[in-house]
Amino acid sequence: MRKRICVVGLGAGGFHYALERLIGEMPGDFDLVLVYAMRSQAQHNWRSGAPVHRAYAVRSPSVTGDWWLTSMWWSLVAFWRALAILVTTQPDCLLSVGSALAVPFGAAARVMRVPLFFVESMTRIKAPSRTGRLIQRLCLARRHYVQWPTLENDSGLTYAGAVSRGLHAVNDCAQLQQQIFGFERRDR
Amino acid sequence: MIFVTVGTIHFDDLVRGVDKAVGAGRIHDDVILQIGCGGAYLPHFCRYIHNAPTLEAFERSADLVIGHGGTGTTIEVLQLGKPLISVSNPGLSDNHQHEFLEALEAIGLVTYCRNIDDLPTLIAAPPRAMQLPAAGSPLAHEIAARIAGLNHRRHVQHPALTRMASLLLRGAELEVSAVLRPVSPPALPTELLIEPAGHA
Repeated sequence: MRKRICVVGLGAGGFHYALERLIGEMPGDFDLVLVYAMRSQAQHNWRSGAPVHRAYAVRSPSVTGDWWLTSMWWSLVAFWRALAILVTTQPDCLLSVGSALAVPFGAAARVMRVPLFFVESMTRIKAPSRTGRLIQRLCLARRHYVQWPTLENDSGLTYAGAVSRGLHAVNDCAQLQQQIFGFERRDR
Repeated sequence: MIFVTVGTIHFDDLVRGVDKAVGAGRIHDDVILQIGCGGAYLPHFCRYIHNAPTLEAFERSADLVIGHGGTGTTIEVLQLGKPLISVSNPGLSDNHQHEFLEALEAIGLVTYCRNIDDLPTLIAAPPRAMQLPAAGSPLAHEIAARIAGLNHRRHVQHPALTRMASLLLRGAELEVSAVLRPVSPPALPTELLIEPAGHA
């Protein structure tokens, strides 16, 4: 039977691109539920061969310039909408790259016992994002991937390469790590 | 043609810097600006667009791309094999693009412009184009393997629950056909181009 993946946090530049790349390269038979973080961006911009079951737009809890109380309010709205999406579409798992929407969706997924696979943004090299820290602290993700080996640690952050193969090679470049971070990747 | 993109969020300093450099004759090439939404500055000397479903057509047509340090633009341009100059947007959370661009600059993938005033000099001696492979992500295969190992968990839905869910989702559902775009490379959407305010 075909697996169903709920793809969370589309519409915003790099996160959208990374998700499109990941889904585009994932082998297997699955269909998708797309969740956009911004409605204005949700016009003819999803390009992947996998069939799309349904698409939704949910306002991101963290938009630049938002006051913290506004963020809290939109987090609650996103949480209830996430629950409704999970009840309606019954996905096998959630997948998100970097998006703040992953926090309310991850919480709803915990309630519904649906696993979340979260990938930290590629721009995070020395420390996880606020979203990443929240997801880690609240244990919302089944697997929490980082795209740079400098972020991998024993408390659940896993490095398994980057979204782009070229950058995977770059990420493994010991010279770069020594140059910038004074870091040498340990053998696993 | 030089294509300048600021991503989904506005970046007035970059738009203003490039536009004024064109107006002052410090940049001689044809420049198209993608200025995003919510910015206060509208170009006076360059054609521009606010946003487009995809910027790939502009990036393909350009001889040089000036980006804002976003991952989507950076990887897409590198995969197209176009020369790329990146300017980080310090207004974003933690100024995280600075860290990302420093890392890519250290291995010669991008030219990192730290001061917008330096852009005309960098454009005069454009960087060498680098090309990343178009496919082959080990991370995608790792996640796919994890998903394949999951048990199917679709249940019969309770009608009351489904009704409540559809009430909560009122206005949130999108037409699937409205979000899909063709897999083939898009044509340059010239209809989106806006003439500069100072255009006679």
